Amino acid sequence: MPTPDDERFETYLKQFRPLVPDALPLHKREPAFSPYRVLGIWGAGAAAAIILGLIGFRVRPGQSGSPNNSQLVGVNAAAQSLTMRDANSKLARAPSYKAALDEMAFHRQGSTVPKDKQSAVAVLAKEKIKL
Amino acid sequence: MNRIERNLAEIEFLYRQHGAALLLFASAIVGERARAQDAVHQVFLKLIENGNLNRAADKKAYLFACIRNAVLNERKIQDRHEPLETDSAWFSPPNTDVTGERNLRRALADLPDDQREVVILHIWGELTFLQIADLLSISSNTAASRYRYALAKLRDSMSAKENSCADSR
Repeated sequence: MPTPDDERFETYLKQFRPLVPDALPLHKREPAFSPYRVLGIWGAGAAAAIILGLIGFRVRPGQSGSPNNSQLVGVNAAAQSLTMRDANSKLARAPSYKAALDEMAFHRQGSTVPKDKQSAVAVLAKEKIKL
Repeated sequence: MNRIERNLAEIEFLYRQHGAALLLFASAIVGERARAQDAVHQVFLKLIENGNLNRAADKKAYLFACIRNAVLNERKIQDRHEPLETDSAWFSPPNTDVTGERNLRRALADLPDDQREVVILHIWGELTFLQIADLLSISSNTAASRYRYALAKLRDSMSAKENSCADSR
């Protein structure tokens, strides 16, 4: 049985408060990855890979369904550089040497301007300028 | 607030609430405050990493048990059976009674290990004899009798020390 002396002594002892420890060094350790977080990271990686794959497939020339892309492809085809083969065939077909040269030098260039817009060069070409 | 954040907040709350008593308990086993604090930090950081505190029915008693295991394991690893070093303070004394604090610390250090554990767990850890019995794997009667012996020894030891201090003045 505790005596009144014991209780008084206990009360006296409880007046001594234990010292508080230093703060936890939480910054030294990163919390461990949870399984959900790991799954999330894997999922995001897989989604990014799929999106990149789709983008790569869509921009491949000749397989694109986009109208703008097809216009650009046409323009590029028209603006191809003159080869020796083309030059020889033009010389063979042309009525004269001068006409063949004119065709090679001033053949119609493909426009890089979209269909619904006009190029400044085309507009200026229509104007009659007196020299 | 997700599960991890909730767990972290709870552990921080437990650290603020019981950290001081846990540090005292660890100091009373290892003696050196720095080693005791390392043990307390180690236990709480493991709890944060593993996040398995919810499985403990009695969280406070579980924390004291974790501290005891950590300290005893560390002692086994170092294979040290040195007497307690009580040079650094364990308590914040009332009315800046520094002499009283030193006397209490030394009186506690003079107690046998098993009695010192019980008295600290009961007075400053505020655990019941049943909880102490469960933690130390003893009967609650044994816990209570160790406590009574410890209290009597503490009182005698402290009054003797106070008298010797008074005589030396």
